[in-house]
Amino acid sequence: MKTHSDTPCDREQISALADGHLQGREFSAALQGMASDEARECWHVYQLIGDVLRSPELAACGRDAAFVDRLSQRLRSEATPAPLPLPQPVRADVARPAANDGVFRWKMVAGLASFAAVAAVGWSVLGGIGPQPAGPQLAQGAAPAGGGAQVISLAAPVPAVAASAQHEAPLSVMLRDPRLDELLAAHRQAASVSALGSASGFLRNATFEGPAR
Amino acid sequence: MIGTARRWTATPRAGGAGARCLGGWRGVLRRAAVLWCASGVLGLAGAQGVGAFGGGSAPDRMAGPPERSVAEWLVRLQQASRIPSYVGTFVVSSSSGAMSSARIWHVCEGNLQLERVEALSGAPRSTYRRNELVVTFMPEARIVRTERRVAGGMFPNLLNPGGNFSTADHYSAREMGRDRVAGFDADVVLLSPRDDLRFGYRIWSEKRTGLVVKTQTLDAAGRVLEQAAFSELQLDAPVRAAKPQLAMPSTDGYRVEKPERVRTSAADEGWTLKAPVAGFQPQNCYRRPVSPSASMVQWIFSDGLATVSLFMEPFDAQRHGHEGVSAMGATHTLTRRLTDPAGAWWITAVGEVPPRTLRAFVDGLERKN
Repeated sequence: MKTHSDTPCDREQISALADGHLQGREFSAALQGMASDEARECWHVYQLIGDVLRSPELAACGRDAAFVDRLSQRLRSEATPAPLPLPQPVRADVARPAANDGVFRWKMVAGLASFAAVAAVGWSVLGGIGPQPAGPQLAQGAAPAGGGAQVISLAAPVPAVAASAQHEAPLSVMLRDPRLDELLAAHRQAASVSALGSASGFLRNATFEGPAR
Repeated sequence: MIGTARRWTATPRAGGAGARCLGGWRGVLRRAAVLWCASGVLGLAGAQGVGAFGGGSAPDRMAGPPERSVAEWLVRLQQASRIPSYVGTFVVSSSSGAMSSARIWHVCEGNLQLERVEALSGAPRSTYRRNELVVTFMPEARIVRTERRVAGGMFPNLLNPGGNFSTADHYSAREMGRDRVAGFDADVVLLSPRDDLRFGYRIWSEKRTGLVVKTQTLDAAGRVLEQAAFSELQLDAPVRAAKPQLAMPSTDGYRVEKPERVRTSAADEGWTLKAPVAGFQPQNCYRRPVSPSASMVQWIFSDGLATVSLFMEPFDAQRHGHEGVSAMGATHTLTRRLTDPAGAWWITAVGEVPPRTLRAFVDGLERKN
């Protein structure tokens, strides 16, 4: 990477500076390089390009022909990395790497948007499963007659609970909880010695471990 | 039958008379059947009455094996773990529809018991038991977990029916006849609870050896919450054929995990149960770290058949939030926040018991300062 500021206008450095990619020594070197008028003009043009790319409505203004001419002229004078035919000045800036290509916040915005989409779909799917009375993964039970505590069935409806229940308490739905699974495993270990023999103790617990995970 | 029905519809007027006539016949038949059944039931009740009042050894009982008491049954089921060897496929299913199965190898030579449980469903797991040492291989995670199971203080009492053995006070045994499981004849016994703090159990015990070949956990209404059974069983598998399967593989390439728990006592940890829950006796108490700064206490209770674990840890709003009761098969879980002047605690009670039992435990739990 070039760190010296001898070049009258190191555009790569200015572009990196505009994108906030420089730090420490590179940053101060680039700042020193900004002393020349050419560099400052370059800086302003890059900021302008960035603004236009970030806000498409700015690009729609066709009345400032002088500006567009100047911009296209300057863009043409830039060294093109690939020998692509650039008939239209507007296409020219599309063909080269965007000034904000490396900007992390744009990737973050895209990431957040896709996450939001997945979350929204997931939420509606969960919401759809929830109220059904006999979901295979999620299920519900009503609270027992005596207490006000909620009864939540982890795997599916439990007839015993539902039968002994009055339908006065709110229903609730709960997903698998890895912390609870750990406690269940610790409990199973404690309960692995049963007076009913290993069929209801050790064998049952060693076999049944799967569904709890 | 279908023919006559068709004829009635074809001639409705005659059909009316025919139906009335048949109704009369049906009534007679039904009355006869009711009388016959009633006499059968009375006869059965009589036989059972003789069995019960005669103490099970009355010579005047005509048929069936002698009735065993709860304690006698439990001793018989326990002794079955000493049979030389068996190999089988074991299936566990819960009322929620969850089902898992495993291949079982068992060998007993003198005082050495070897067992292997190879999970056939869910994540691959192989569990090896050598007496009290239990080693579980999880090949996908490349983890081996070793733990030492601790028999509660129950068995000396259990094997001495004259002693202070409270399980018999909280369950009653009733023999339900015989059945066939995995190709073997089995005695069926119903252990029903005497109160509503525990579930009932229906046990299929192989006739010759006593081995439990099937169990069902029943709620108060008699519904099956969970059942476990051998779907296939070789009871007389030669020991030398089964034994190679029981050799524990090398743990090379696996990360060996040991539970970081230390034995402690509830009193030392500052916990007490102000009102004991009928039939449940405290067993062991352990402390294990859950984070660098906090640890959790597990206090274990048992009535001989059902086990309850109370987990106590400092309340952490980040991790704990949902108070309530959940159920999975026969296993119920109750979570509750407990506050005392010194701070807040998060209590999780787990057990193969009805929710009311867990509630009784958590209601009775208090800090001793």
